[in-house]
Amino acid sequence: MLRMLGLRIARAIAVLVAVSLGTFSLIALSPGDPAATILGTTATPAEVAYLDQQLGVNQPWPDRYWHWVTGAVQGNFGLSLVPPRQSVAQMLGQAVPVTAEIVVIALVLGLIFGIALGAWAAHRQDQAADRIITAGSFALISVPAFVLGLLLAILLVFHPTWVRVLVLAAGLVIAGRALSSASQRKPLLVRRPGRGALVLAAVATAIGVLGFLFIPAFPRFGWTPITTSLAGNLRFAFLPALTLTLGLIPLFAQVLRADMVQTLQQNFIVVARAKGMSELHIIFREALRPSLFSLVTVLGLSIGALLAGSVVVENIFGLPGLGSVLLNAITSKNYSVVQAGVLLIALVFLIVNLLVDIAYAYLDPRTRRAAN
Amino acid sequence: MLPTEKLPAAGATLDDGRAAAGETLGPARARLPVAVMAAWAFAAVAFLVLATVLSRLVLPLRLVLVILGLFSAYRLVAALARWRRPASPPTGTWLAVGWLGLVVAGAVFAGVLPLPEGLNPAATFTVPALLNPGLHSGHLLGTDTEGLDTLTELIYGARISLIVGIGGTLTGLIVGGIAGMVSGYFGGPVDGVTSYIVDVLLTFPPLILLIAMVAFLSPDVLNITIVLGILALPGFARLARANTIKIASRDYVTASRTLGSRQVRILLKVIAPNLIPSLFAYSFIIMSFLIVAEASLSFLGVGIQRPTPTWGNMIAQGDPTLNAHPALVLAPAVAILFTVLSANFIGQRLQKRWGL
Repeated sequence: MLRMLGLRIARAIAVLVAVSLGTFSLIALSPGDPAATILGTTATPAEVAYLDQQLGVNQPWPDRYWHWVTGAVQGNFGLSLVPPRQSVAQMLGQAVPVTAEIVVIALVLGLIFGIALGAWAAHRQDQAADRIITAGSFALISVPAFVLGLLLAILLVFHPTWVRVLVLAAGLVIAGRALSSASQRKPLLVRRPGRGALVLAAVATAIGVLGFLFIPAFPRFGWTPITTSLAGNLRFAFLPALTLTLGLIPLFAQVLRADMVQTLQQNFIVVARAKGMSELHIIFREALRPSLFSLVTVLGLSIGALLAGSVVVENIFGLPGLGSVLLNAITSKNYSVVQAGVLLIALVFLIVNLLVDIAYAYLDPRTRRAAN
Repeated sequence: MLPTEKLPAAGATLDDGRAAAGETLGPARARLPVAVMAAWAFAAVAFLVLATVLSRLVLPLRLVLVILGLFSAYRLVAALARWRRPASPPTGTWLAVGWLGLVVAGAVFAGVLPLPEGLNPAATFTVPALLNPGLHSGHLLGTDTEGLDTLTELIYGARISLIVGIGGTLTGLIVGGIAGMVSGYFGGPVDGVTSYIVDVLLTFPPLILLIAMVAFLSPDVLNITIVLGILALPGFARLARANTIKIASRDYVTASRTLGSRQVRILLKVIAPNLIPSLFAYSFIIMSFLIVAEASLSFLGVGIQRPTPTWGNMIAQGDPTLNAHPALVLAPAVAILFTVLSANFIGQRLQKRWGL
């Protein structure tokens, strides 16, 4: 286990070195005199001299790289090349919490709904619910994040009344379906049909009515820090997080469904059924853990998609997060910020995938010994 | 290396199982011409689109592209003549193929179609700006803030999306496919180095890699296509490597080697034809991914710039007037959505048929 972890970490560090070299050499590859590109034609000689010194243009590149890497390891990424001249670490430090918040919210919501829908689809394999979930997730996966964000903005920012009516209608339709199927004695997700259907109908109605009464109009742009006001913060974070999570839910649901369909055919599930366990117990206590492998892999990879999606989403909803900082830095050719931001994102991605490898070992004891 | 050495036995039993079930090599061979035909059709369209659209290229190069396109079309017709038609595919496939065909036709014939002005803002002084969609104004999907026709922009945007999507996919397919095939077949240090490069490329979240590269290059069509090709490369390399390892353990490869074929011949004549179907199916999915990536870049303002219309920068331009004129955003959004859905749908269908 320790040996596997050591190997993984060594590999991650090797990749990180390559990444840092790559981002560093991109600057060297960029055409033209960097100072002239960044400052334009109206720069004073003093500004050019400052920038040349910041970029270390006059030193050989291994020196420059070494200087930058030693700084980066200590959390010092130099100064912003474009005024205001603040420290890059500080700029990123202010932006990271915003991005982290929407990413974490999106991930948690995505896992909750993705696992629930995926498990339900696997349980109802090849029936109507499964087909709806599978087709729906295929369609939703194909929607690019920026299209989804703008559609949500049209609905929830400009036409909240439509959404309220839709939520109410959806709640009532689901409640009606649940009651009608209960009257025909078809088994629902919960084993005893009557009570489960009633509970489902009541919950659906309640969500529909509450949504109809209380769904607010969400703000189009802006951000409130969580330290200022929790309610205000969540109001601003909701739409961006929803956009991201709507991309994740279908992915997680599809992946979990595929694995769980296979798990549910195995002998220990038959034994559990024969023992008279409830379906809920079988799905979530017995079948879930062995079905999580692909989901965990996809989870690690989806962090990358989430970080990329946050660039788009922050642009749509005007959040001051990592993505906005990165994008501004690119358009103003603020290379020191681009370098640091890209390295930071690669680092997060590597750490997450390291955690995924550890999670494998937890999920399946056999992988602990299969080090290489 | 260990799993690779184990594979021959597993592959042998698999083939034996198939033979026992009465499913000999016959049906597998009969399925292959469809893949070959699809590949030739893809190549023909790709070459002809590139030849029509890359007007900046010198004439001889365009002629070469046209000849390559015609040759691919000839091979397609030749294969069609030898082909027995299976049962007609279901509605979903027809819709997907139909939409993609429409987009391709629009992109190829954009210059010939009688469309209102959609490219030059200087020519639209007399056209009312921000016209709503309607049948009577002569602007089916309305006009934007500069009085340019939305439908025209959409059709010219399809060009960019297709060039970039197909070009990037072809680049990734050729480079990644060859790299994956070679590393899967030879293993050892070649495999180690290739896998390391692929790992490094996969370390970046795709859009971030794209943004980082575009930050240092001028965002024109050629550069974006190359960068997207780099983005598509690791996926193709991994798929080609995994499938090559499987194919290399099959009996007919051993047979060919026993007969004294050289390595190059085995790679090109035995392994590559069997790799093509799965790579081709995957390339539809990659194409839709690259189209979205390009649109995201343009939307963020770091991709292809105005006045060249792309679906992404059309959406970005319509964003400020989202409430008053949603059509400016919805039209390109729907175009992207349909294209991505169609390509994904076809890709999934093909993967089910040809995936190894």
